[in-house]
Amino acid sequence: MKLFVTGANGFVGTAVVECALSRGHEVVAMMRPSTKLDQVGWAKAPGVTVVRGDLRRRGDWETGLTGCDAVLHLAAAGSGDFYTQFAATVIGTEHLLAAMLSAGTMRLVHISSFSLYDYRAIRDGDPLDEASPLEARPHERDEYLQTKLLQEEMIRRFEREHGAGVTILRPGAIYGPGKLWNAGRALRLTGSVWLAFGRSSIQKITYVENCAEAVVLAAERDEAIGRTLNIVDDDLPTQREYERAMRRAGFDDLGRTVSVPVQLVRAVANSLAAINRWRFDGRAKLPSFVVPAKMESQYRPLRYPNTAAKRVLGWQPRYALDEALRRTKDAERP
Amino acid sequence: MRTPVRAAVVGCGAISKEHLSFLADSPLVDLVGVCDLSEASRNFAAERYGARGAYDDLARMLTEARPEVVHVLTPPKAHRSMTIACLEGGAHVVCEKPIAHDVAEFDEMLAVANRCGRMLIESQNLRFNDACVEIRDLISRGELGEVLDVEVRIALDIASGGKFGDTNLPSPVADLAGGAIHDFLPHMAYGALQFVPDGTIDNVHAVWRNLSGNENVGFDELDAICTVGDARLALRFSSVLEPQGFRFYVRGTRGQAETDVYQPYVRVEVPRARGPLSPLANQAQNGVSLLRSSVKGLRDKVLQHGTYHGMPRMLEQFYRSVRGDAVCPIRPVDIRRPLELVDAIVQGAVIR
Repeated sequence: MKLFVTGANGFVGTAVVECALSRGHEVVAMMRPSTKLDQVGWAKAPGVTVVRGDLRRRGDWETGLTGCDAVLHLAAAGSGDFYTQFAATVIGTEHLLAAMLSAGTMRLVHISSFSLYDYRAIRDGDPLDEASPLEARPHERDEYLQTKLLQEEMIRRFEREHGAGVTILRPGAIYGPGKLWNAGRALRLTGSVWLAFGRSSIQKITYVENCAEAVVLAAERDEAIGRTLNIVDDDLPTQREYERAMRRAGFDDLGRTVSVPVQLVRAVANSLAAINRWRFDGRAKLPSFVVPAKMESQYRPLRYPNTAAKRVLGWQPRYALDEALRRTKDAERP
Repeated sequence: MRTPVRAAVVGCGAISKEHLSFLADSPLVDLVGVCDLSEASRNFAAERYGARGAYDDLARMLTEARPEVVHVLTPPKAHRSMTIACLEGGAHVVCEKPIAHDVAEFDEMLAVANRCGRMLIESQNLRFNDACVEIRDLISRGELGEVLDVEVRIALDIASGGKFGDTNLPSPVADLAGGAIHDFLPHMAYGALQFVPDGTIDNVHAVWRNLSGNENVGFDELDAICTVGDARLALRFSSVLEPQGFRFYVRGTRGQAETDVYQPYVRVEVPRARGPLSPLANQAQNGVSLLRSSVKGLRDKVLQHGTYHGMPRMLEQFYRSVRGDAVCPIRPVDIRRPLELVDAIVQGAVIR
């Protein structure tokens, strides 16, 4: 297949391109104008065509879509204020979909996010799966959730109105070289001492190479068209287990953590929210870990099955936690 | 109960949040439309702020929604054409800064407004911030004496990224003569001129530099001085100096005042006691005042009472003036004089 990859030189994009090449696909890799090609290992590999552009503005990059069999849409903003993220995530996608229509490329694998779910609507200990409700009060969450939700709605509309073949993947927190999940750490107390919430909560994580393989499989499999699939690894660890695995893999500068039960954090967050409503009409902007909607999305103890993704994609996460962390450590060695 | 004023917005980018928040909440206003080329942007704005319609074409919005006021919030290069279309379509206009590329362009827009019998204002929200109001009050009570020196200093890293320094996409103000700094110049110019008596702008010397090498910002350093009548002004912008801030220093023949728009406080030094005790009295008074400001600053941060808190005050007065209940908060001369100053700084440029 010939795959058009947005965000190709990003954290996940790099792994996706490498996986696609290893599976014999051609890749049209979209990169922003300021990206230095000599820092992208696969940029000159056989089967790779680099297209320069920024999704926030329509332009010559659109010609790269011609003849592609599918688009793997990974580009999005992960930080910045609402309008910064809106421009990169929502308007960028609007431009991409318009360009796909013009080019006649109507197969899309979209990388959404686990953060879209309404964590408050699921009881402690219950499973969160593809049938779980999406966040009903996005204004109470962060800009990332708000813009990713708008982006996904736009893509579903594109699917309905134009009969496009769309697969939406919602990965959990993706970890790998240069990006390790924070194991529930919420607040640095002193130099090496952290406050950590919900240490017994299961982590919704996926190793970047595992996730990348799921993305490429989604493009290959017609069974994935029209599906929304959660992507998390097997045998998910609790926060405490994840931290122990990190130490086993050689990450020994983790400092010390002081554990706070999630029930206590919840009680504090709910109390502050009540005071905020009562005294300030809900206008007070507080740290995310004491805002109930944000706190629950981070720390609520739930279960995360990945059976649908494995069944539909024929996906088996290749690297288990210990091996994934060892590969991460090896990749980070100078 | 009087009928609310029918209002609309063209351009649903970042600044629209500040305008739409007022328009959505004010009982003076009925938000009848939003307009943007991006379907995602206009639909989001319409849904989030409860606009009656979302349009991709300004002419159609003017015809179908029949707004009495339009807020022109597009990139600066579209201000002239959009504003004139709205005025000729029968709407008063609130235009974001910089309203025009130069005085000549503004004069053309104002002539259309006069011909159509409509009001045209530039958004000069900082005039209505607490600190600016407080310093103007000090001046009007004569506590600073005759103001003869105003310095405006912005220290803000615009070159390393963000809206202006993005190396992947030129900012919407990249085509202005002063590059990214030009986007701040209206605030600096009207901000300085609000504190001095009217007078001839003269002796302009401006040094524009690009220290970062980022071509997308155009310039990231400015040092401009000039005289306005008997007063002297300094407008200085730096992308590298710390701490970041937007400060006004206002000095008169009796005393001086300073403030920071980003981290508000007002420090005032005036004669407070006889002889040598005056400096001590000023220090004590300002110590207490700064302590209060830091507490208020924390409260403002938590309650999101930010740099734009003057915007709803400005807009409320404007909408009252549309209904004939108040005078227009910003007169044409309040727009034209800062434009003259900006023109002089751009034309008197030494570029290094």
